[in-house]
Amino acid sequence: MTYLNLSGQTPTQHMMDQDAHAKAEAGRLYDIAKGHIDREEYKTANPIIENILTLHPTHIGAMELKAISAYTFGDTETALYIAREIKKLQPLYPGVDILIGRILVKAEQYPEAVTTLEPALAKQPYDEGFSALSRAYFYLGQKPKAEESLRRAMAITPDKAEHIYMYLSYLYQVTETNDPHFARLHKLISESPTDMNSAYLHYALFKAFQDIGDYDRAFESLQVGAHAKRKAIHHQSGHLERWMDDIRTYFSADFFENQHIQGYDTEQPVFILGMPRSGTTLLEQILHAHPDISGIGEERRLSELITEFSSLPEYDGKPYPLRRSRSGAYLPPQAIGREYMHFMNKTGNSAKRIVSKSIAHRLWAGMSSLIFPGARYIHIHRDPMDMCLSCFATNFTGAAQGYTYDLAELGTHYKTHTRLIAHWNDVLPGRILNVRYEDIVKDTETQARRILGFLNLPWDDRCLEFYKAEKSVSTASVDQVRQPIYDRSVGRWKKYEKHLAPLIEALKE
Amino acid sequence: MLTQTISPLAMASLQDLPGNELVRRFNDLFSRSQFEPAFDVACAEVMRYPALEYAAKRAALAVQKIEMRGFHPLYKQAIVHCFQALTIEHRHFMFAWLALMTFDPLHRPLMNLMDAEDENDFDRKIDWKTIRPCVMDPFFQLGIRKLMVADIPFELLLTRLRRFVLTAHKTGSILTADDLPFLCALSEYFYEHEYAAIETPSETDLISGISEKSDDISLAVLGCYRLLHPYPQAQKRALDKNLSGDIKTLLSFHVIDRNEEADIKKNIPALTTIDDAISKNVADMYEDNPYPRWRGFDLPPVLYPVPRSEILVAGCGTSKWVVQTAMTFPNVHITGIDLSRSSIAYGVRSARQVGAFNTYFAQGDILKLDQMDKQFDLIESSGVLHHMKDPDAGFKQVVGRLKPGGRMFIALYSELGRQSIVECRKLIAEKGFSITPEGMRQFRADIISLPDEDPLKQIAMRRDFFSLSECRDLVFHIQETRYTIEDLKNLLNRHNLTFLGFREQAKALQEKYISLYPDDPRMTNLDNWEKFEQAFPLTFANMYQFVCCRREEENTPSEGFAQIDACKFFSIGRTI
Repeated sequence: MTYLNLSGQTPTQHMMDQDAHAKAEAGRLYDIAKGHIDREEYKTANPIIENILTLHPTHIGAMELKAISAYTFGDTETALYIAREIKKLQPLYPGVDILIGRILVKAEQYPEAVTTLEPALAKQPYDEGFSALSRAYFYLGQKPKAEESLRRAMAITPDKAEHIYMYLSYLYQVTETNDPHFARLHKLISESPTDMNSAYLHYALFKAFQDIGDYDRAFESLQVGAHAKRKAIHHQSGHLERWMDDIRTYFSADFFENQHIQGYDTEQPVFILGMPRSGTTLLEQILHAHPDISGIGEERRLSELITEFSSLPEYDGKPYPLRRSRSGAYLPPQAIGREYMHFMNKTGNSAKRIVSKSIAHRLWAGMSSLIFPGARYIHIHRDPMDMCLSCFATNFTGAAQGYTYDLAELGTHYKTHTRLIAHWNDVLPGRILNVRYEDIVKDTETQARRILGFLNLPWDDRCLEFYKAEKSVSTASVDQVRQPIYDRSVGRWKKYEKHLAPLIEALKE
Repeated sequence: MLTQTISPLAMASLQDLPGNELVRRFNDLFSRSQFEPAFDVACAEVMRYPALEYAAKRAALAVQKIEMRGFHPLYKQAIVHCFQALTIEHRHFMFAWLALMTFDPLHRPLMNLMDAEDENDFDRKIDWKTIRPCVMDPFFQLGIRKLMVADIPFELLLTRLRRFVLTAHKTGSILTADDLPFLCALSEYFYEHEYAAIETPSETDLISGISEKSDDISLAVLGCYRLLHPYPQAQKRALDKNLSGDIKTLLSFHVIDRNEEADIKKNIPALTTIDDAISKNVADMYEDNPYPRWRGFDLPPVLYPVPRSEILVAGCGTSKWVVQTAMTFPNVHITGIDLSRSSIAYGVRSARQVGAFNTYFAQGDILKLDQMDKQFDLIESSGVLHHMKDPDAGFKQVVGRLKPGGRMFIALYSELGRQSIVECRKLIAEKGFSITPEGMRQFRADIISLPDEDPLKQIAMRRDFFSLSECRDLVFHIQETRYTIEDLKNLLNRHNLTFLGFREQAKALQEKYISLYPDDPRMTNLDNWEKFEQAFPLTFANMYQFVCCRREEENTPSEGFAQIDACKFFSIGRTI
């Protein structure tokens, strides 16, 4: 029986080999590894980096590459550890503080990131450092400083599409048709950028046209941008929707009638179910303002635990659909519950109810209801036209929400989503509260009271002033939740109605 | 006092490392058999990620390989976290736990009571005020709840503590609601051991005085002596919706699980008829008490989604093997049959809780297996056939259920390996101990009172000695056939079977065998094994656990079995 190595690494012996030959070999390997990292070939680079570190455990260059690779894969803990080791070994190594700062931003430790990045960038200006700093300020709600940092990044590399996009989309409002940004964008677009950069530029253009009220040209840019993004992320059409249908058929009514799985006994977890841009962040913020509730935002831990570790035998001839891991690692539902609750309590300060919102929760509801027999679900629903337009107009981070870049596909996805939610309502009676975004916007108090009743908590006035709560928000809705509730996004789709025929068609039964 | 194995400084520096680095270091140290530092690394990981099951798995792997030679509070804290893990057998920590209990300055007052010469001496020495901090220590409580501590001095200590608690409860002056965590833990200890320790007549009197009381303290104290399931006040309390904490845990074992099993029992299908007189007697014997009682088990760190194949467990008992195998091979279909509905109900409840839908259970007699038409890639029948009046008849039935190319995992008692047991059975026959809880308790008390050098007392080295139903199976079984290797050869011949190797062998034993018989690298020559067992008579003290198949089918395993075998999960003879 082989014992699992969670990191998937082969054990390497760290030898303190100071031999010159080994050093020369390490140097040669470093050049190769660096080449791979520069070309973003991390998987090829990783074993070479490990080899260098075996030959020469304190090879600063290799350590830096390892940190960058870990950072790219989201293992901020390892990345931070290595970066700090570099700093211990060579406190004056250029860029090490900027590296640490960037990792801290990725780890969402914004205040620490700011105190690390500010002095480091003063000594050594670096565009990626400034954009990370801008991100940190932005999520901390300090817009002017975010804007200033981004400007400094753009001063170093004026043509970086991502920075222009961030600047125009979140920090700068265009007011005139002859704003120089239009010319800049058109020029960069004409230089045949990559798909990803083309997406950034067109989304920026979309925002700029929208700012000046030119909705036709805004939409035209949006369509080009969405198309480029879809190509850049290699989205596989229908994949997710088929998966959602598989999930629905596995977790059938019959399944729930016949299962007796022992879960983890707690009433703390509350999961928000909804599509992107349906108001999940708003709902979470209202609840987070309550003294007995802690919102832990958009987290991936449950997704990781379920796709990596969960397994059930086939049921009624259908295979268990949620497992994605090839590692073979496995945990029974109760153990997943224990690990996840530990994470939740650490993040959510052991509040009476801990609210987690993730677009993926709608996929896990069948399984998470078994893992946590005491968990509650709040499904937030929004007018499909408004929600779908808002999805379409958003350039989500990375490859997430790939179905939002094509109107017809988006409509199909919405219908699949609705079927799935209706199914969860059928098989988990009494455990899901359905709320409408429009109702929350119209009468927050009534809806908040209803939700708190469902959560078995007393009323608290602070829920109505949620925007005063001090907390960083890192979702696409970051800007909205820092303001009192507004209803100007209700019915926004009408401005674009004539362009939305494919969506309207797809939404028809 | 021996030296500590770890310096606080070393542990502190380990705790700064990121998780992946700790895992890497653990794997490296463990693969180089550096078990002590590996255990330190695992403890550091557990301290950092207290809820991470795989960290606890690593700690459990390493702790079995080390001898705890000193006390360190971090070990204690790490083990407390490991006791909460759900996918390991907590029992692995027993020796480390006992050692830490011995070395921990906090527990000196409690452990010193082990030196009491008798009950009176114990009563003279015990002082509740100094003992209370010891018994309220979660490390102590979790240990007695989770470990099935198999140690005579410790059993004596807890038995005397139990008597003290009962007496103190009667006088009403000492115990308060704050002591409930301890009382519940003590109660869980005796429940798990099925009240194997003897109680004095004065205790029996005192118990009858509290048998109708319904407060939590009385329930917990009563639970130290009796299964609470039949008591109406316990049933009532168990169904209380506001129940929480330790008393809830206690009553879930005593009452809720039992109720559920009683419900399940009503719906267990009967696969075959049961006509044979011995089969009926054996069924009756297991009906009172599901055997063997188990809670957690080591869930393998990886699972094997091999395509569907069929496994039969003939005599599944409480189905630990069934559930573990079902979880490890999620696509494999496993049928468990047993004579005892109580044991099956225990298995069904356990399988349900973890979602092992790929299991099917039925009551049935191995002698009537020909009444079912299904055939299997693998049939497991461990420690079952030797309890039949005519094991050959059972064997024939089991072989009849094999698919072409199917394999059997069989385990049978060894005459040589069970010599000390045979002596115990003689003692039982001579003294006329009955197969009742009283008879078994009396037998245990007799063994415990023997001087340590008495060969009969060797039986107390076996874990089975420490709970009633396991003790019953160990020495009191109404029907038992023992085999020699010669018998095995004849048995296999009679049924046209080929021997494919012994299972679950320690590496050291394999190396010894190979050094003696280098011309038998596959280790399948039973003539060699016969000589080997003569030379090392305790080799099969547990049982002869072996694999066999129909003659001429050695090289043509059924497709289903070949897939299972390819995972190398089961140790089948020697893998070359």
